Amino acid sequence: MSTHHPASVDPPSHHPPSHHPPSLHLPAGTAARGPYGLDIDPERAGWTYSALRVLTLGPGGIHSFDSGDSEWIVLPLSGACSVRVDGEILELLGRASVFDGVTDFAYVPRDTHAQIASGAGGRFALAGAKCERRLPARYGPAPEVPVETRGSGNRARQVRNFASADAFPCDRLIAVEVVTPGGNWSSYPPHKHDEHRPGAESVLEEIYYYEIEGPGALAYQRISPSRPGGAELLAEVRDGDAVLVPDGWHGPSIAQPGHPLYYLNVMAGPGPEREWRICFHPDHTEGYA
Amino acid sequence: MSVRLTVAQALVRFLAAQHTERDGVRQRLITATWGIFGHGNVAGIGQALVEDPALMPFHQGRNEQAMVHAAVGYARQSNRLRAHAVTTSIGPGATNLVTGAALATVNHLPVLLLPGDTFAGRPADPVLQQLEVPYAGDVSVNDCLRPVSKYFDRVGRPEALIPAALAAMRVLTDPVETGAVTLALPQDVQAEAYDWPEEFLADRIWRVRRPRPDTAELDDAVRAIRAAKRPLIVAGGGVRHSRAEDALRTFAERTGIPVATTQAGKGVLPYDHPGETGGIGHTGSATANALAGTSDLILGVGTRYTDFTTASGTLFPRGVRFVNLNIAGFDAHKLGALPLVADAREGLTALTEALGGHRQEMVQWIFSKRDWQEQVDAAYAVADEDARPTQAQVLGVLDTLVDGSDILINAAGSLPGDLHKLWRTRSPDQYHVEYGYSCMGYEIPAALGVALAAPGRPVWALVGDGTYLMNPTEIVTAVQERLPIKVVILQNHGYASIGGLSEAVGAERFGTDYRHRDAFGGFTGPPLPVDLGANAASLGMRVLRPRTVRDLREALADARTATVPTCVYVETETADTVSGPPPAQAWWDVPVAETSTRPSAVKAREEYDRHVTARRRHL
Ligand SMILES: Cc1ncc(C[n+]2csc(CCOP(=O)(O)OP(=O)(O)O)c2C)c(N)n1
Repeated sequence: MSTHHPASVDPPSHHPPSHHPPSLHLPAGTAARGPYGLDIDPERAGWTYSALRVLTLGPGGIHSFDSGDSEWIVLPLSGACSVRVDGEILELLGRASVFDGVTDFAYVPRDTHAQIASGAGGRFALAGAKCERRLPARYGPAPEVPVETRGSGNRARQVRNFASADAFPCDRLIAVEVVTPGGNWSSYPPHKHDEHRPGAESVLEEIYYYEIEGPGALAYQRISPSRPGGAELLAEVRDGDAVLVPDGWHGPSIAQPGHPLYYLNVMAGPGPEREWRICFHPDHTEGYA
Repeated sequence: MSVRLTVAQALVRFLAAQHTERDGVRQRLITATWGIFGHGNVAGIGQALVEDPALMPFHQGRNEQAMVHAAVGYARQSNRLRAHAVTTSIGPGATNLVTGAALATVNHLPVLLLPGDTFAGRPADPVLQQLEVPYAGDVSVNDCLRPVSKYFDRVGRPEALIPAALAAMRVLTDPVETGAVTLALPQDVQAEAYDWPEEFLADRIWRVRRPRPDTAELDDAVRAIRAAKRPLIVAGGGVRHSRAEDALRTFAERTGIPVATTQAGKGVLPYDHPGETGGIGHTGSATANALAGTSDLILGVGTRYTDFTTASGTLFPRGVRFVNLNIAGFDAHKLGALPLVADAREGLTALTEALGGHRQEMVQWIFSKRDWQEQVDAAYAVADEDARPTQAQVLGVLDTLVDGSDILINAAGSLPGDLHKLWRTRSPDQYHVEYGYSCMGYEIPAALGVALAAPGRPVWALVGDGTYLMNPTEIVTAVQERLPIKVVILQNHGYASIGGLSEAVGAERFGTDYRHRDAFGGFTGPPLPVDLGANAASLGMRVLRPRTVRDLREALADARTATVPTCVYVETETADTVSGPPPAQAWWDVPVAETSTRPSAVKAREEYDRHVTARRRHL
């Protein structure tokens, strides 16, 4: 492993050309656009598939958007909402906060118009992926979200596979939530998914979006390059920040003692199959021990 | 101690000393008197007003009915805590008050009417303008004012003024009773002297009460609201009279119960408040009407439930429960409701408290509200800036210019419906549509009253050409008083509203257009060569004549900041090819001929019979 360069600014040089090369660490507010407090689209990220928006609605607020060439999952971070799509209204009961447990969610297919409304207001993530197939709009019930404890001891964390490849059908989108108890490490051992090796590894562009309990709380996120000039980062992240993982070994994500760490992972890539196949860092082939 | 004064002098002194007090704020009750003098009041009230001019500000009106409208506009803008008096001569001057009085009484707005009356002593019957009926010696034309007054008295002797005047003030300041109050003043009595006790003329305060709800009624209301799955608030003018807007907002925000508004209630929440669903009833929004149609509980606050609100008894579903918070028992009991007799503000505050954290999550209508706003946008949208504007586009242009300080006044024609559906009300007192009596001709004089009550604020009288023709007289008063009201005349050559209604009920637009006679005797010829802009100019108004939407933007912006009374005269596009406001979202009962030889009426009757079956009685 190369020496640690906390490179939280410049993008690795192998990225496709883009007018505004993104940094990998997007502190809260820096990627705001229009109605979204966070708006990462493929163009901004300098990649092709994955997108994430975070929307805050006031009481009685309503938001309309066109899904365009992407499929989306509307995921309440806090609060309840209704999603109107393709003539249906999906009622999401939501949750008080991401630390409260799993939530129900709504799937919005590509090429449609959707509206999100909230009576009491709240914060809602829109996890998206550019895709080809148009699947039906659907409700994702909370009780059907597989919840898994991954790792043991001070690597233990809770993974909520609400839109993992086996849990919920999408065309390309894969999205999961992870809650890491204060002081624990997650995304650990470091792993990558940036090469197409059938049956072994899939190519997935990944976004981390963090929420951390407690004022001023922080966490650390590491990315080390998987190839010369690859993505590299060591960032102190805070509530509302996001990190882009175009490639590279990512992990660990380190939670501050006493401050549980939540992150939402949004992934998508070009593979013929929608699958999450990862490769552990050669120094850590033990996997999720 | 006593003071020797004429009846008229004593009355003026008395009126100048009356005050209201509510929420710790004391104000003079009768702040000015409007008048037109004739032999029936000139020597009495007229002399008294000039005897001590500092006592009572005076406004010279042009038409007695219009003076009452001005007084009503003033009272409404003053939340019924201040009012104007109106003095007239006898005979026609007095009977001209009747329409204005009815309007005031229907709308529960205080005005003090002081018509002269024929001699109490009757030395020379009949005097000029006296009605004589052979069967009764004590009837005068002023008796026409009895059914339209909340208190009527004829002061037949000087000392009778004392109880009459006190009763008049009691009614004017009573939030349940208030309306037109008439003190008929025989012209001989007005001039008679009397020794008035000083206490009669001393300062007097009338507390405008805020009764709290009865605990048992409150318990019943709370139980019903808790049990409801799809409750809806219908907010009426009573919310505004009580200044209960904040209490309503808190109630709606705490409980999550959506709010629909009547014409008089529109604006109690700003249009973009999350709980606001728009107007209700025949002229209402699809959002509010859909909620009403599927509700299981209606909490009516300060509403009289007119046929426009209830869609003539067809809007609310069978089995819906009503809880009526109203200061008047009469209205609280309507529609078989659980009554909650109280001041709106007190009642809402008590309900909020008693409901604790009870909350109703209702969200789906937010989508429908957005859809409705898109329909409003579509009605306001302008494809061609150089075309003649539609009426909806005029409202759309105005929408881009106003802020919460602007006040819009209207009462009749197609505008009340368009405004109720479309207007985005920004402040609680912006929307001033008199739809209790819907009296053509209210707008211009009411604008004077509003301007007097709210100096410095842009006051818009929006009038159709028919309405303008009925009562343009107070333009002269606006010019005289330098009140920079803005009169927007929407010229569509007749009664667009009634024309449309006429067509819908099989009357074939008969007699509703202002056009030359055609060869068959009907009025389908070319438009009449009237120029209402020239008319307004002749009365002293500054007149702007926009022809296109582009001109209109400029003209309305100019009028808004003008410091002299300004008229914007605009010919509107009425062709069926242009998109207008959304159609009615609920029915209104106008009975159609049960038998006719004409196909249009036969067809309209079939339609009518279909609607009638949806009528429900809520018991
Ligand atoms: C004093 C009075 N008379 C009659 C009516 C019945 N009425 C209601 S609307 C209307 C026509 C109004 O015409 P206009 O002011 O030109 O407005 P438009 O219908 O063209 O919008 C009539 C006659 C009324 N409301 N008030």
